[in-house]
Amino acid sequence: MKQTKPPFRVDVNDILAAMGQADGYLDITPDDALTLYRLALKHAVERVRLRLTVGELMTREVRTIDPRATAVEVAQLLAGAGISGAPVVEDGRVAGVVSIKDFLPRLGLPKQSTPMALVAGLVSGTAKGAECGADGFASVTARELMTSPALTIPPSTPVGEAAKLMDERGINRLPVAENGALVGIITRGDVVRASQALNIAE
Amino acid sequence: MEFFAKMRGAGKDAPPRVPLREMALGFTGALLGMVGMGLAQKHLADPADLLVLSGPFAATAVLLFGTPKSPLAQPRNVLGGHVLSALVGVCANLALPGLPWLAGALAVAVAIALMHATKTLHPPGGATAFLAVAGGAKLTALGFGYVLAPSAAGALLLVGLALVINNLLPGRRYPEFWF
Repeated sequence: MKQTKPPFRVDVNDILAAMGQADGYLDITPDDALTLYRLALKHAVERVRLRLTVGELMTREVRTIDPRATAVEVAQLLAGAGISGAPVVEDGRVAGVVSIKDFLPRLGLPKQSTPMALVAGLVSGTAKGAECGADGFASVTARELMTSPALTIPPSTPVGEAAKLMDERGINRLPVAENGALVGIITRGDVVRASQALNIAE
Repeated sequence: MEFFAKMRGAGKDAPPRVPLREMALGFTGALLGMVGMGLAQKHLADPADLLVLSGPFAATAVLLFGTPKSPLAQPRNVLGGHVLSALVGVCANLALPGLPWLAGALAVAVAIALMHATKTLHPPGGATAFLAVAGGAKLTALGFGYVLAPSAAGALLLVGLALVINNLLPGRRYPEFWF
């Protein structure tokens, strides 16, 4: 595994500088203070890691899809928003999720293929998209297109658990629902950013 | 009334109690160290009519064996603290004859400032300075000799004992730094 360099690292010179700033005499050697600092930091990071919940990290303003929207509208909405998927919401409840993965099989690609397969088809001129055509997608609704039932998690879920779930299911986003109502969304990117921010312990 | 408010304490947490093992090591170290000091006094110093053992070294033993990682317990501090404080104490005694209440206080005060200035702060040094004034006729009669024995000799001996004992005790290491 690639070792990433922590964004910053407190060393004994920082401790010496801090001891110089602190008023009065501190009955501890700089090395012991550093050891103590690092252990304390580790404790804090562990605590935050354990406690940080999906609710604290999720995006609250969620781009949602109407179940009656056509596949064309859905594709345009997702493309316009610069996202690769969004929950389909009906009466405030998450009915399903539409992502690029729901489009690919309808474009004649295997279900687990990636967006790159689509690019490959386009650049080599073998894409089957034309067979379905824009008309074909115009008659498909989001309700028909979506993957349902959607897997949702409550906001109290620890972030680590959400990350595990996304990894296991091979999905990139999880709608966050409380008592059935959509309250936010958490993506792989959110989790990565959160762990990056906490990547400060030695 | 911030003055009285301050007396209520800053509300900070006290450090945790040390593990039993630490207590056992402190006990063993101090027992061996002070037995060593006692035997040295009895068999080496007494025959030569000298002193190596004096009260302040009991306090030094607390630091050397109770908190060996403390900056206050390092060789520089033990040796420097006792020698400089002894010097300050003798000077105060000679400078203020007939004013022992002032000489004793001044000895302790100057000792603290001097130990800080020389990075040799060692709390038992305060006792060493004070005893040069208030330690009785036997100690004051030593004059500047008090700096050499018991102060320098005793500190040297006790640091030597701590060096051997602390490094023999499992899991301990001494010193953190020399100078």
